[in-house]
Amino acid sequence: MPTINAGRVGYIRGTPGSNYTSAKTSNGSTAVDSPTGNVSNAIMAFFSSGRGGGTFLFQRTYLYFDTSGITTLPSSATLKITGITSNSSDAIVADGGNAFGGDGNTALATTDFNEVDIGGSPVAYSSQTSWSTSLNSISLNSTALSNIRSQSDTVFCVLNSTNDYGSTQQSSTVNAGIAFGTTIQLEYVVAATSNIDSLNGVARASISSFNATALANIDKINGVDN
Amino acid sequence: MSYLDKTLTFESDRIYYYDEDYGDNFEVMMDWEDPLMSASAAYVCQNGGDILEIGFGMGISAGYIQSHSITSHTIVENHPNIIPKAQSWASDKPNVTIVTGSWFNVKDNLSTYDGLFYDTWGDDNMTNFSASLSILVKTGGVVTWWNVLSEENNYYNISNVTYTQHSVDPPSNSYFNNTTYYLPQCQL
Repeated sequence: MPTINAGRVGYIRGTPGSNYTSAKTSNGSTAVDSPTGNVSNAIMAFFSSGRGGGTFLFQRTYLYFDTSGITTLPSSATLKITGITSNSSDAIVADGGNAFGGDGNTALATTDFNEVDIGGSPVAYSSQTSWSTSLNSISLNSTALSNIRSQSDTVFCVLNSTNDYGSTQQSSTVNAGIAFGTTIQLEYVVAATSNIDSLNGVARASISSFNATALANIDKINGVDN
Repeated sequence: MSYLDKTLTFESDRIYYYDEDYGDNFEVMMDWEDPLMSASAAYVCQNGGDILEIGFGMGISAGYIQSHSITSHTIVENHPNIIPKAQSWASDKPNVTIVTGSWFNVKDNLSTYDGLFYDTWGDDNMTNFSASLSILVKTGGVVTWWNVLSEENNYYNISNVTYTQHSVDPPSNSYFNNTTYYLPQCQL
């Protein structure tokens, strides 16, 4: 199964504030490019009752992949991230816009914080997933599959689903950690193609086996690639 | 772990604690607020009389309140690291009374006041503040509070509030990062 390693990774801390929406849409306050260790709050929705009404803060992870080699529409794709902590946290993968300069050649910057376009028109690349403290294998949706085929450079944003991508204000902090020292991967499946349309007048789609051998296990019939 | 269980660090320009979830130091109060504390004190002391201050913090506002001509100055503080500092500060000020504990828990033992400045942290009783004004403040008394919102609005849904704008330039911090502070002014 083809696999691409992330070409560049990082996470960005937003700007803390009392306004829930502003905390999600303002520029970041700190960006960490190419971390190599464990980060326990790489995906976070923070809340403190704090001073006079509370403080909201969000942290998002961005991942860059060189997808120039994907020229055929994959039948499926999975983002593989090793988690380390989770405080009942969920996550979602979304289009990361032009973070990393869009091509992975620029270090992640605080201005990239909302490249996912929360408050605008964010594009979900997965459904909501519970965060695991071991390997997270997140299935990508058809929009993501189409984009990784058409784009040479693909940036993913991984963020809290309920409170950051969604619009539910958190009343306590939820966070999810990432082991950035492990390799983050994009695994995809490209449907097999065949040069055989039919056999003895029977459409290929109607044939499951040939001479008692499953069609999927046959490489060639009479020298024609299957 | 609640705010009251946090160990505070006191530096000349700030009070903060380390927050594990936040992953960094979390400021409780900073000295860039000095002009705001001065203005807040001036507002609640405009009629003199008895002043109630809920939350001592760095003591900046308390110092300004003392600079005005007032009859009494009651301070309510609940954090165990701040209480001794407030008591020490008050030791040579005969018109100051330090009341320890949650303001909501001790409110029935308090008096009524001509001016009230409310500025708390991690306060579980914030939602009771608005309803408590009538029992803490005399008719005609004035109230202000720390306003975290960067607009002419307030977290407590208190009506008949006017605002004066103050330009500020806070360093990046965990609780206020706007360049305009809207100081609320409310007369009962």
